[in-house]
Amino acid sequence: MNVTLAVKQYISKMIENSGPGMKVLLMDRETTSIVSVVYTQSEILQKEVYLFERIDSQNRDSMKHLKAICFLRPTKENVEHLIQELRRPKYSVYFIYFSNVISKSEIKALAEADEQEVVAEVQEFYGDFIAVNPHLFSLNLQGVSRGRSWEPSMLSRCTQGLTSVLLALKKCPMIRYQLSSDMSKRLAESVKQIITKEYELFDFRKTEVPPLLLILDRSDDAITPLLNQWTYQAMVHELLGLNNNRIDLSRVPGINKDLREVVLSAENDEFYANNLYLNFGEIGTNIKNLMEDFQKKRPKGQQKLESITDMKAFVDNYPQFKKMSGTVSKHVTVVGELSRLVSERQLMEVSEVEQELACQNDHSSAQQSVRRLLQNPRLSELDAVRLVMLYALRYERHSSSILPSLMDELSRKGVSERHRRMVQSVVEYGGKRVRGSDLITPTDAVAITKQFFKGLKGVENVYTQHQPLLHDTLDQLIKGRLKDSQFPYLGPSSLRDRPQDIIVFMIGGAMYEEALTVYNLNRSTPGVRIVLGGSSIHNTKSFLEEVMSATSHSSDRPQGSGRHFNRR
Amino acid sequence: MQSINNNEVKEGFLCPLCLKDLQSFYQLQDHYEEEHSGDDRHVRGQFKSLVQKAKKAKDKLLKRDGDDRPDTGSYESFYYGGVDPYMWEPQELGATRSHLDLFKKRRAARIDHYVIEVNKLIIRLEKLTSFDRTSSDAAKIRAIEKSVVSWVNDSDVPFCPDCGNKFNIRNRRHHCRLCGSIMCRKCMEFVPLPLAQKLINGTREALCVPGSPSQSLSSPAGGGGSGMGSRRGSISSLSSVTSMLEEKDDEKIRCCHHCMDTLLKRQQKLEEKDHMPDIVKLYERLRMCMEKVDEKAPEYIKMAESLNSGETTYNLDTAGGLRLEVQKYYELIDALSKRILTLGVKEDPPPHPKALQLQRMIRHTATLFVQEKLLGLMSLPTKEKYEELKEKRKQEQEKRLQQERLAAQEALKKRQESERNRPPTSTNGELLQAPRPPRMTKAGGWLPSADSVHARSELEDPLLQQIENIQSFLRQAREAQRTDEVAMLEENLRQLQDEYDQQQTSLAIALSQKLAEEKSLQQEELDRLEAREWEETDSRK
Repeated sequence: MNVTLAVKQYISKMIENSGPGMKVLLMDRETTSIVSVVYTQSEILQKEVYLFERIDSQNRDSMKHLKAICFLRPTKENVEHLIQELRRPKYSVYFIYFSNVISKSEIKALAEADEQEVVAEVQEFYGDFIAVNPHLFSLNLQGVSRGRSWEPSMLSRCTQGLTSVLLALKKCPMIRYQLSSDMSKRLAESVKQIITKEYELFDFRKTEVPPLLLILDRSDDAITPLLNQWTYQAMVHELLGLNNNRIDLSRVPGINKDLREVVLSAENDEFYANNLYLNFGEIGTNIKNLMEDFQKKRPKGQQKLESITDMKAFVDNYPQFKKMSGTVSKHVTVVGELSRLVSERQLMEVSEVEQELACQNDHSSAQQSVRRLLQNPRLSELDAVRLVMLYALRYERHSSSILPSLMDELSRKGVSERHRRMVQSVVEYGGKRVRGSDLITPTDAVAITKQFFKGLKGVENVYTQHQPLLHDTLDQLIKGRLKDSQFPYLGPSSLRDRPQDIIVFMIGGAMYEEALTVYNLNRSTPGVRIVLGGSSIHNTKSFLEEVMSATSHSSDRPQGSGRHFNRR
Repeated sequence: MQSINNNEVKEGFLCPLCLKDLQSFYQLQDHYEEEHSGDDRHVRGQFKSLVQKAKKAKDKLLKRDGDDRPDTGSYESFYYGGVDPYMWEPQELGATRSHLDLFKKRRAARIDHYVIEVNKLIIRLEKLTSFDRTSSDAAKIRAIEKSVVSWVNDSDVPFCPDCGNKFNIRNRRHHCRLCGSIMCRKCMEFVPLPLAQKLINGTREALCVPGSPSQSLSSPAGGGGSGMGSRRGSISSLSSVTSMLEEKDDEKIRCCHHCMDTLLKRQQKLEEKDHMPDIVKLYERLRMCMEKVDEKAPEYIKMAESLNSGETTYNLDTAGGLRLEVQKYYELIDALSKRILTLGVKEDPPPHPKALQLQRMIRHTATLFVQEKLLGLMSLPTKEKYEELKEKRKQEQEKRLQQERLAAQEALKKRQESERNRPPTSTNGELLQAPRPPRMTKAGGWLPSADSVHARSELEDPLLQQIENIQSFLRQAREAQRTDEVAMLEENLRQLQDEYDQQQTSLAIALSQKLAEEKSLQQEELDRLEAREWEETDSRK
């Protein structure tokens, strides 16, 4: 069930198949991301892969002493590029791997182009997704919906991505989907169709309890994407933007040239692996320790280079030393930038009110807090808008809603028209009319007792009170209590036992906060393994883009059937 | 819970020298001191400080809410029994599907066709070049050319099939001498004679056809010495020299670009066949050296470890020789990769940027390889040092033996004394439980009391049994209130535990847990007994 490992194994198998000798890896735009997320350059260099090229790059010289490993998505363009490549081969031999199912006719076309007999292998290796963490994958798709229905090309890409995850993990699942979302149903059917069509591929060893694929829609929980985050990975994505585990730091004032773009990968950065799910306070302490270690270590190495033994000791230590220096400066820079942004944007105060809005049910105090914060001149535009959005979603139907006056406040503050329009869009995207689940109601008796117990334990943190809706959904699923009326099975059969292997897919993008929830569920529930995927991994900014692209079409389209579905 | 937590952090605590997987910083440190204690002092010192600092950092990290928990991983204490996704069990390779059979079938059909095409062209080329073109007149050449392949009728082709221009008096038709098709001047190509010759000879060699009609290869420098490069040039020069009506091709054969394309591909293949660029030669040697290092280095490290701990399994000189050998390979790797890096840099048309990139990458990889592996190459002790080490090890072993003997003797003495001194009333409670009182053996001394027997049955390590024994001696001594003996036994116990911890790093956690439990139990029992004794003495007063 480890998606990172699945992709890694595919790639190392490809390299292994090609035997010894110098190699070049030919990829397309998407497979480049797929590979670069799971392998670092130095790791892959050790396997004698020295060059990484795009199949569509014109700037490639003929190098007949290299073997080419092609890892490509089976798109029309790629097949065409490959045909051209085979007609005039630049490398001695080609090992071709497609990341998904390819048609017989395309194989035929390729075979006919290979007049020089340079192709040694043609296979399908189903690594057609970005494995962000062992339990988290993304398809890096933005703007999957138009109104409440699929953008057609996105539906097929999501189907491909999802089926490739199933194939890579060797799971032939039962499928459940969110009834309130027409898109969920469509995707479920589309995946089922592929499973039926390619039944030979999906013929895996039967397990006692069949795996389960649960398809959800982001619009059911539009609150989680609007919150500021405080765990390391989530926070980095929210404030700096993580793209295929890379952060662009070029806008950071006074940044060192080497650190313009840094890679944060738990696979080979121990500090990151240990801290990715810790909160900001803890990371602060850890980074301080790391830095102290480094500083103590450095002068020692430099001062005592008098005798030959000293120098040898230093050289012997050098790789470790260098590695450590890289890690230290990287994390120091990242955490430094995070804390600069936190204080500049006063995110502590903002987050407190966000959490209050998301988790408490006290309208009068909530509206006061929002008003008070909106007065604050240092509040950034994005934060102001998201507070109003949270308020609008939370108290959408409240009798004494002050939304109009908050909107006035926004325009007085000089918030752009575009941002103000987003408030309405978010309500349209994830408001009560759309939702199939109780995103907000549980904040009553049960939730208050929960809160109380948490308070007693003393581990609860004001900034991380919020639990995404996904937590409840999965919790009920694991306990076998998820209602069939809200999340029906596709097809006649249903699961009698509690599920063990679960793949959750979030149409419209997952969040790192949800990844954390799934991580904790994995760790706390024996026998259950959950993998979370999304059409992308969002932060607030990219989520709002998604919302805008979804809602900008909806006004001139008939309403999807999902809308009419009755909710309690 | 402790053991669970320690499993959680299993990843990452690898010993930097032997990459053994250790479960915590403590164990790593212990392991390091034990396994690699003979290494270069400075390396060790630096590592040690690094480990200690990391340990401190880890401790701090775990001290949430100012809570001073000594063990690792306490922040994971809210989790019960689930598995971290990073620790999910290994899985098999995902599904795959091969299309190679279909591909090969399709290709085979195509290749047959292709090979026939190529051979046909070559045979025609041979015919076209097998007579003396320069001394024959144009009409004769044309007649021969026409006999090789039947030309397409002019009237059948009103437009150039390649560019679509209409043929007329100004735009005349030209025939491909190899396939007979028609094209316009612009679309026409030329095969220079030397190229034709090369293709014919190459193919003949490849097919091993004996007794070929000999052909003078005297004019390589003239006509098209630079092969395909001169094609364009020959077209322009041709148009300036020849008239529009009559042309004579002395040193080239006109053909369509389809035939030209096929011929050029063929030529390229011939050229590549026996050409091995320098980089490949160097690279193969480089890989060989790396393999040698991978093979020899572990062997050496095993020797060095053994020698550094004063063992006599290996010979110091053999190890020294091996070390030299490995170091030689490192030097070779460095030198070879440097040569690869600078290949062709000074040549006039500099190599393609991608070629340079390839060279840089190979060098980079070699550097990484050396850096990483060289660290593991610990030094050997000098001759004197080795003697010292041997001596030390011997002494240590003797000391350990002695200690054990001493402990046994001490224990014997204590037991005898306490037997003598113990007031009969104090063993009152124990007398009721027949198996509990300590028994005597030939060796004498305290015997482990029965309450630890069942626990011991699962612990087969002799050291562990020893510890158990001492503990029960200790308890009995405490019961007997012999404080001096208690101190001594405690000292003994501590030494044994240290020893045990070092040897059994992987079991240490479970053990210490057990020990802690037992200790507290014993402490409770002790307290209880003490209290009772106080009561008894009080009541006797």
